[in-house]
Amino acid sequence: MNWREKVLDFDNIGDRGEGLKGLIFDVQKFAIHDGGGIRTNVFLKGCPLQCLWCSNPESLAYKPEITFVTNNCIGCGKCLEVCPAGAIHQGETAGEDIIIDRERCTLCGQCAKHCYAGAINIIGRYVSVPDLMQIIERDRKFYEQSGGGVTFSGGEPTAQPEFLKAALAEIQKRGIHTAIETSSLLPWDVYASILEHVDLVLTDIKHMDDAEHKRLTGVSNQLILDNIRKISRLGIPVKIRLPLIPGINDSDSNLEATAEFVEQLSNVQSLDILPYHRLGEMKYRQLDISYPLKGVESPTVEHVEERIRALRERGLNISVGG
Amino acid sequence: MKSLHFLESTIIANKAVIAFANRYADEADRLAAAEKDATRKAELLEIARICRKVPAQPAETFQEAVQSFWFIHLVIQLESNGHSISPMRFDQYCYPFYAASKDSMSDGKVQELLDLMWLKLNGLNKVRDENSTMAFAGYPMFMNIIVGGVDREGKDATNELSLMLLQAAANTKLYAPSLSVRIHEGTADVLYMKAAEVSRMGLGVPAFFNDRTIIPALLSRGLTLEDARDYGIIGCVEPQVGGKTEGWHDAAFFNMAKVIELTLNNGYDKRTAMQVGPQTGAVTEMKSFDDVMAAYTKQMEYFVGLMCHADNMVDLAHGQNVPLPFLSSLVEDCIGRGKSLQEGGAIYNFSGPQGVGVANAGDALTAIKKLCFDEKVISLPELKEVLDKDFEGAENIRQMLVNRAPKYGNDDDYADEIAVESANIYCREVNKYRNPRGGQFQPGLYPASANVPFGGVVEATPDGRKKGTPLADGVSPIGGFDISGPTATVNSVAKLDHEVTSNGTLLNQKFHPNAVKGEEGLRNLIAVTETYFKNGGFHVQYNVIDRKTLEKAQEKPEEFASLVVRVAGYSAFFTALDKSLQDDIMSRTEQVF
Repeated sequence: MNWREKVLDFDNIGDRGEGLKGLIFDVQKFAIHDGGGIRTNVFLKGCPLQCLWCSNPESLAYKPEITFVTNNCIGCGKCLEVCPAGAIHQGETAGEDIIIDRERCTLCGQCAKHCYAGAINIIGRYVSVPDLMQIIERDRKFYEQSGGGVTFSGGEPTAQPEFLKAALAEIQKRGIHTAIETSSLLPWDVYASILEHVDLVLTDIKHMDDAEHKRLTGVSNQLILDNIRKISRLGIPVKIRLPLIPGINDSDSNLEATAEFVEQLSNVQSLDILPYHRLGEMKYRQLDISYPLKGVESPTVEHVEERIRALRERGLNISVGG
Repeated sequence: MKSLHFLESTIIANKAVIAFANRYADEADRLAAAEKDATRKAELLEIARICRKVPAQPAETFQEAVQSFWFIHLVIQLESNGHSISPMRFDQYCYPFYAASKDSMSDGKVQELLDLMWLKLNGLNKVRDENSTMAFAGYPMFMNIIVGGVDREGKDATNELSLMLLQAAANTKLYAPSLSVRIHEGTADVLYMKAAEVSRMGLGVPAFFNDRTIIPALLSRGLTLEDARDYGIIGCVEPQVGGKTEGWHDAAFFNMAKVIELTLNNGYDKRTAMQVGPQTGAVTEMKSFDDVMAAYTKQMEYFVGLMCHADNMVDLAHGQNVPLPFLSSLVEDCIGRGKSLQEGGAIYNFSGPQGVGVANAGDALTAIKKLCFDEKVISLPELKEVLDKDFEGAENIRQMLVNRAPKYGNDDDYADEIAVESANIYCREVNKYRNPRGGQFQPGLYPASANVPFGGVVEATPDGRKKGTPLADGVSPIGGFDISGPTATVNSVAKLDHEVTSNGTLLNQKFHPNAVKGEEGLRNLIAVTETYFKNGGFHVQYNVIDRKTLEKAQEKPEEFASLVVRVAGYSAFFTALDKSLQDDIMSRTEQVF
């Protein structure tokens, strides 16, 4: 999103308005690790999975949310003054930050509008396909020059199937390469109708063991794996992504099972290893949510290489970091 | 009579240069006589032979050409205290000698000679006054060598030497000379890739220049098509055709942010407590944004006029007191006209003063328009009061200026259009003036490192900038305000009119090494460059280095003595820079994704 859209559009917060709209929480330009070339990444809000290591907690809920970035707060107290719901109050002790009562908050956006320091933000905006196209078109020459395009990510982009389909169709119609980054957790008929407009699929395999998968993400992996097999039969190029979480899914047996599964597919461009990182941890604080994966350290480069050596030896096309 | 004196002086100077070269020959002979090692002895004798031959007579081999070039370059450096003496299209004028020596000299040897030439160029330095050391931080000599581009007929000019010169920068890893690459529609892929590869090394070279903008810009200044195609770069980013031009490209730096300050203060300068500019109206009388722009324009007219008149006085003094006979003897048509360069002997004559702080002027005006007039959240007199106090007790207002007004550099038309207009007003004024050599003034938009000392004399500004802090560099957005990624930055900057600014514009982009990793990373770097150029950009250069490294270098300079960074149109050792400039470089937004 450009500066103005990111910061200054306070008028339509939380308002679906008329017509088909998608709830997005970010647009990132010059994305270079998600599907080839220079891309624009569109992040749709809401996700059916609850992965313990999720680095985008603000992407999970299917509604706009309010965040508070402590470091940016200059303590001017304007938010306390303008909140019509009385949902913001000063912390008890001196020097303490403000506290947002999320039960009372109506997401009217007044606090964010008056927070000049940008400490309070509303995450999530409803946009129409034409609005989105305006942003996407601005970087068209970069896509053409670099072999890039547009990637829909999330959250889970397929969780807003009608909007996603309409956006993808429009982008493809204009000759721009399309990709989606998805969990592949959705009914096949809906998935198939989306895939008609997709040039490249980036999809995760988080764990091969169903029980473990449920424990880690809250859902079964059966539908996910079935869907990935079906995409293979359609012949759409796929990059499989494996978030590598130390002690969680990086055992020899799970990596081997993942490799065996991937080897049965016919359309895989690469297996991308995404090493766990804790950059998302601070975002949990900003949302007043506790971080579910406490105590897990980011793996070292050596650890990652040691873990995936066997995968490389099998002859798989591995990339680290997407 | 004056002409006669001038012509005699060129003969004296040229004879002196020949004598100078012969002294090197004598010394080489002397060393050879005492030398026991047969190989070295032969080398010394060859050196003596060459120094006796060139530059008195034309070079015939590649080594003779390099030696001849070096003598001439060295003597020009000795003749005056000026900087930016630029070798320009070395890969073009030396190519015939390279071709002639192809059978007798290996490419390895050619590369060695070029690497040695790099070392020699790094050995040159000049004593500067204190102001100059601030405006040109890091002891740069601005000796610009440029490769690639089109030839005089419009065909791709890339050759073996173009690649070897890039390799010389990679081999030596030193801050001089400034190395540039010309890019055109048909630039050879091998040159583009090589340039991107050297760029990725983090030395800040090469700088990329766009033939598709610069050639038409030079045509509009009266150059012939062949001459325009044959341009090289002087100093940082100033294009001209070598051997025919007295461009006086560094005629002045002009502080655009100061004009904003004076616009809001009715021409009164707080710092000197003087009415330095015309009275263009108090802020209480400015009822619309148009009123503000009208006052800004009037202040600009006044100060650009002052600057150009001052330039012309200096120009006349140069001609009367310090003509340069040797340099003049090398430039057409000084001999024909019997006039030194400083008196108008050259075919093309320009004066080029640079506007500094485009982004500050633009963002300041944008904040005024957005917040004082469109949204009316603060009145202009209230804003002025806050600025007068340097935001003391009004941090929330400063935050509002920073976060609630659009900013140049994010591909946002609201902010970009105002930045473009604020620059155009400067450029239009500069265009009106002529110099005593019969040439025209042409504006540029680049700062060297003057954005730092210039910021030092400007009060707080409506872009949220505190009193005394640096201005934005070149045509780059204000550091930290370009939050939408490099593609948006490039789109914004391309909206400026890069043809009217024929004295050069400068865009610094900083990339984290991760962003340019692997072959795909190089392709992405090329894609950013190419898109900027297709959209009309003039020049771009990249600092590929992570912030952590710079922070460490600031803490422990002794461990990072060899760290070279791009300042603005030139590279310097990071640890040799003033702390304020180090901070400025670190705050230029690092594009990592």
